Amino acid sequence: MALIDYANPSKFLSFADRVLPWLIGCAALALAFGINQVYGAPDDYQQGATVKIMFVHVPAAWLAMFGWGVMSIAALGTLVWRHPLADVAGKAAAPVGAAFTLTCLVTGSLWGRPMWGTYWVWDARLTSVFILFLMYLGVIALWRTIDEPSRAARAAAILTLAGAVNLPIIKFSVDWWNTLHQPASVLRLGGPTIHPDLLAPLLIMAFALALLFFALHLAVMRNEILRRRVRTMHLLQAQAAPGS
Amino acid sequence: MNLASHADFIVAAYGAAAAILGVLILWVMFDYRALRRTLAEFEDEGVTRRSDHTARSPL
Amino acid sequence: MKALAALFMRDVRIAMRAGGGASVAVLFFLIVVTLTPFAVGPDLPLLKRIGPAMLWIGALLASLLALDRLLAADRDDGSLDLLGMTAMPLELAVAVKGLAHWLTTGLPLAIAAPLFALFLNVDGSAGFAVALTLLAGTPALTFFGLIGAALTVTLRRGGLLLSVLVLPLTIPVLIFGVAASNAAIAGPLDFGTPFTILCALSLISFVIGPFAAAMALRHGQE
Repeated sequence: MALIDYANPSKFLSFADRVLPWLIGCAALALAFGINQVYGAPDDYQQGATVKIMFVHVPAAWLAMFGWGVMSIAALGTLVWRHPLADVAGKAAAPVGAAFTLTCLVTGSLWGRPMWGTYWVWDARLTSVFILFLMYLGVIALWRTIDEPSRAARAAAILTLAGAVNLPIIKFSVDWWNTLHQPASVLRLGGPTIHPDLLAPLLIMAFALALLFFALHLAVMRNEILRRRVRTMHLLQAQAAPGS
Repeated sequence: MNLASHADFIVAAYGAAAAILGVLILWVMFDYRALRRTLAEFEDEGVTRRSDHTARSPL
Repeated sequence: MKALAALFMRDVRIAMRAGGGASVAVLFFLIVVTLTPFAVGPDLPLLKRIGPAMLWIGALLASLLALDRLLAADRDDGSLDLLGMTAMPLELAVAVKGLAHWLTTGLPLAIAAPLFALFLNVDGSAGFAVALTLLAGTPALTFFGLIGAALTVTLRRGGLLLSVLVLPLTIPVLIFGVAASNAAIAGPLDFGTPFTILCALSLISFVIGPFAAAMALRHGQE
């Protein structure tokens, strides 16, 4: 089935109604399995049991960036192809992505307390994620400020793309700034050399949280389509009202 | 370093993650119910969208 | 080309005129600098250490607040709609407007910086180093800000939202601006490295800013 078929909101709604229960079920099962795996995972020789926080922290960071990627693709859909569903997808990805970004920040902060002795250090990675969070809030604020949905969609799309272009620059700057101020990090948060016993639960948790991300995204998209219907109804009612 | 010494932070981290995502899930659910209810009310009042007119002619 | 030059001259003239507000940005900059000793205490060594950073924060906020004016006046009198209808590409028109805005806001900030630096115990060549980094960095602030100004131009009270949208994008400029200033004053670091990157950021903003802003204006007018 072609993507263009889902430009019809009714078709997309029935698709969402069919897929969502399965997606939620799979996400719940995968999460249960993942948490079970995390429970049985061995401690890290350096970080001890606190490494367990990584299994939710790192996937949340991945999905935080993934969320902006989804928004960028949706933004292209809005600006280039004018696909109506792209507007909805872009708007729906913002709160979901922001929630995962916040999860990453809070778990990172709680991991930092026993490791660094403080809840917040201006570590390069944490700082970049924090700026990403601020940018998510900016996009959400822009969505909420402009009433007309399609105009808001285009404005948010441009902001999203400008952000996508700037994110690598910001990441590079923050890394550079960080090495200037903190010559050597005491702790590397989830580097590439990770023990296989820890890698398996990490990937399972990443998979489970990604399923949760998709389920939430789809559910928020469905809500958004319904919200637009309600808006249309209100407008029709206002037009039909006597004396207008 | 064992689980006991930092168990509170690990539990807090998972609790915080569950709380943040839980709030999002609850918001989505309540939002969905409220929207469905509003749409149903509109339907009861007889307000329909143009695309629905073929299904239930108002006249 | 002639039309662009006319637009440039018009914008500069409007900004220089009484009520144009070009001088208000410098005044705001001065007040931020004045507030610093009240916040951290009149401790001269401390002021010397944080001086370049405070100058950059002041210049950043001043140029940000001025952005509100960049397109809003043209929206109010309708000349923004006219710009969209003329034969010249909107990207170029917006770029010229940004350039005129920088000339009347960013450049005065950079020129005032060595003088204001004296209040923060940053004197002599150090003050000029800060001014040089501001000269290289403020175009990036203006042109990244152009995107936010274009996005919020149709909103009645877009000023606060504009700052929220633009500030994250200006973080790299702030990082390299302050780093270059510090490198010139005290740093073990080579002045050239951060300064070159700062110039690169300004050049990138020249490209991204007008294109994104023109796109935002076109989509906003539909």
